[in-house]
Amino acid sequence: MILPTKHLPTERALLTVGAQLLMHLQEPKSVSRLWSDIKHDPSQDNSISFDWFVLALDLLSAMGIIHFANERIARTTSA
Amino acid sequence: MHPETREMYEMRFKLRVYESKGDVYQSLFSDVMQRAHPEDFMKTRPWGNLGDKKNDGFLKSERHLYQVYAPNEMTAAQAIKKIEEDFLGALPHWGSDFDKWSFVHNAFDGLGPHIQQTILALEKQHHPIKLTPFSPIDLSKKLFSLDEDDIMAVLGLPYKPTRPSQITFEEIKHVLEQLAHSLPEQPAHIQEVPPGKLNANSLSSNSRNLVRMGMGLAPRVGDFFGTHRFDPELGNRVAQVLREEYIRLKGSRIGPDAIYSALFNLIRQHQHSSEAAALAILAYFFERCDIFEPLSSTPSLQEAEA
Repeated sequence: MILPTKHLPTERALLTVGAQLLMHLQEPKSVSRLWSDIKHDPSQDNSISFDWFVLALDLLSAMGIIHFANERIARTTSA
Repeated sequence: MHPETREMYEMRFKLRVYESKGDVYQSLFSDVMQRAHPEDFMKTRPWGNLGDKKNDGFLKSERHLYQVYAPNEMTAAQAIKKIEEDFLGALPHWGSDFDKWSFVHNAFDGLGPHIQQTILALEKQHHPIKLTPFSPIDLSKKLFSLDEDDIMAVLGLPYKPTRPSQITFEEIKHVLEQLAHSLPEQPAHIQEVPPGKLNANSLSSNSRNLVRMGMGLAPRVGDFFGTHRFDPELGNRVAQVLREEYIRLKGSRIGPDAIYSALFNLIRQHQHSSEAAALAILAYFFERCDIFEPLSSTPSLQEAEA
């Protein structure tokens, strides 16, 4: 789930999806805005479901990379 | 007959034997024998309190009496008791009518030495009557000597080879989603795909050909997993279900061909419109080492049983 496996391509592993989400978080965004940006980015795999998108956010949050404040998702580090 | 049709019929026959116990196997035997020997083989059915008088079938032209024994689990002691009871029990009723008596059994792997000794001992005691075992292999020879119409009547419509483009995602999806109902708790162990797996697993030529038939379609299964919108984990879950079933079957000490047949049947039972899809799914997971043994120092199934 988090890492690629024989049956889970690299581009769909949560770690990869999470990295893609971070690329879209140059500024704090609402959940729906971030979802919309991901779905409209032609360079991204837009076949992921909303459930998978939320799981990727959960992973980033558990890793302490993002946090939720003032109805927005934001990076906790500038890295 | 098309080679792939024959391969699939062989597989179906094996499945029928594995699934048919007791009276069901006797019906399969009688059906094949009546078609192989029309107006000659006499099928016997129990008649009230008279029973069958230790006669499950009689081939008149050969003066040949058959007795069927197809238990769920064959033990040597029970088989020996059955042979002695049935053969000695048949003598008072049919002794003047038969010169040959066959013990029809459902053990694909053959009979143990004690059972063979019992048959030989009875034959010596009751010379000149010949006693022989009649195995599923013997029954398959009878079956595949028939014309295609009769084989179809026993085993169903022939398999039609399917080009990959004719397998729809919906079809594979349906099979997989049905199969993935039981969710594993532990993630599957990931291994590299080694070459030569067919040899390592001692599969028969029939099973090897079925794997090869499926290999051509397997990329469709991979594409399906790679693009499944709602459940990216489906492939891992299906792999785990098949892996656990493989380990269970291996623990029951049946041979690699029986395991392959059982796994095929597990997939097939969820969706009956395409054998090709089930072959593709099996080949895909076989290739990726989720089922069967990888090439390593691990002994093969047959070596482990030796």
